[in-house]
Amino acid sequence: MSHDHPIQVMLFAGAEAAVGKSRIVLGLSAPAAIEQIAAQMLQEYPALSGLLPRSRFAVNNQFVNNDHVVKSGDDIALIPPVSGG
Amino acid sequence: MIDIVDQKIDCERLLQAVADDACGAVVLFIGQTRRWTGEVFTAKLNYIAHEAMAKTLLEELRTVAIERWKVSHVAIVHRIGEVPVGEASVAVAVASPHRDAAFEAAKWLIDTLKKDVPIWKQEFDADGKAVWVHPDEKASI
Repeated sequence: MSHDHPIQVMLFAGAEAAVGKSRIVLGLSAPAAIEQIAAQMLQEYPALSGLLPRSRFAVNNQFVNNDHVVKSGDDIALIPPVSGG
Repeated sequence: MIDIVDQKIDCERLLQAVADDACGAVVLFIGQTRRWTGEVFTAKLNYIAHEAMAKTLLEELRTVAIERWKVSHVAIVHRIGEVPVGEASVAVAVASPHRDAAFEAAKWLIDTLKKDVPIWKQEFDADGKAVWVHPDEKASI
């Protein structure tokens, strides 16, 4: 079996502020569905409970649905409600 | 032209990017920092972006706008970092042969950018207190 590749998620704005980090490493390895990743994030970082349910996920710079399965090496980002413009 | 910059937006550059003597219309939208939102005083804004994804999405918006309204050129620049009140945080320029398409495309571009592009603003009040802005979907800004 290959080594564990723990899933990492990039955080921005209010999410980064809530956790105090711009990148979190989860106790979960790929492959995993976004749904599982979200649940794991809430468990490990309860400070995200306010923003996470209102946020979307992006994998490799594209928005994905909750059933999207993340592979080892994918770039994952939590995208809280945006406020550009 | 799609760009994310960390200094004053150069509108001349945007207009040059869409210049075309086959176009009778150029629409330039500038989004700038307001001093007041209701009773809340804004001293300055700070913008951050998931840059790679923001640029990718802005390119996609440009492609869709050109396809859908048959406009000739689209340029979008968003500023990140600190933006003082009254300065532009975003500029969208659209050039087309006639104005209807340019107006419609420009509106769609800024509306969609505000909904989907991974850029966030942080509002600073007069005391230097900052809050990240994460609007409710149903709230109107």
